[in-house]
Amino acid sequence: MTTPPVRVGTPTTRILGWLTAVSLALTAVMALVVSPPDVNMQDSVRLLYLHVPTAWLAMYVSFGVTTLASVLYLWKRTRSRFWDLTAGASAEIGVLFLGLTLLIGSIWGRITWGVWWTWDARLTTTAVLFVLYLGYLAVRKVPATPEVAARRSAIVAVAAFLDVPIVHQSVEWWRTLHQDATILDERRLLDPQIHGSMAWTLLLGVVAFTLLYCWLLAHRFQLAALEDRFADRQLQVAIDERRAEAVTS
Amino acid sequence: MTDAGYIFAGYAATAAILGTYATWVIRRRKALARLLPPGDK
Repeated sequence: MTTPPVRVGTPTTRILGWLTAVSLALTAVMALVVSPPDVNMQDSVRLLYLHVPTAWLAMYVSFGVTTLASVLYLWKRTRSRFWDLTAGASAEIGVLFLGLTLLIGSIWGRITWGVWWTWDARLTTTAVLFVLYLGYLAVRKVPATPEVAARRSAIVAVAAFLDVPIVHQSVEWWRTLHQDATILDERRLLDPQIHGSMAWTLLLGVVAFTLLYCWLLAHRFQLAALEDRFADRQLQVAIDERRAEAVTS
Repeated sequence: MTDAGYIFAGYAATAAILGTYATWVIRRRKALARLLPPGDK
């Protein structure tokens, strides 16, 4: 398998970087200054402008891309190193976002529920998802030939994604403290329970974090491709050294 | 800690974690790019 070509610092990634920075700054202003306190949650609602976008990015976008790339790798007709590197880069960013989701949710829980953590169905299934993808990243590090490592990582990725619908449905299947879905609920898609500047702030947060994900994915993919090429080069240097030793001895 | 303190801590932690990760990715990418000959990038 050949490593895909690497383009470092293209105009597209630079423009994407600036768009990301501006949209994140706007989200912070909207969330902390413009949007009003919630009737029930008061100011703690401001944490949800981080919690919801990071959860959306981690579970549906990052892990979705990882699963899709893994399936494309497992399918012989589309098998390529590109899909394996994409899956790994997206999963790492997803773990980062999911870790933030748990952290922000924990702080919100401390304010609203009075506890940092409770073994609620939504929280527990999310923590399990976090551990599953940490395991996926660990599997990627297990020494093997690139083909074997990529194939077993892809299988683990597809298996780990099975927890995502369980996390999504956990608020429906079990009695939980966690509130129901505000927007991603098939019964409320046309009538979301959020309005005005709060809805716009949440939407802007989702857009800003999606741009951040795209920017991080582009850079993390480039790094993974460079790591691949560096490992190939190190291997070639070692082989050349052994050959030279064999000739001289 | 007050509610405002918790909210500030949440935003500060998010900015610090994402900023640290983005910086690590870019620095490592640049360091590796320097180690590889131009034809290998």
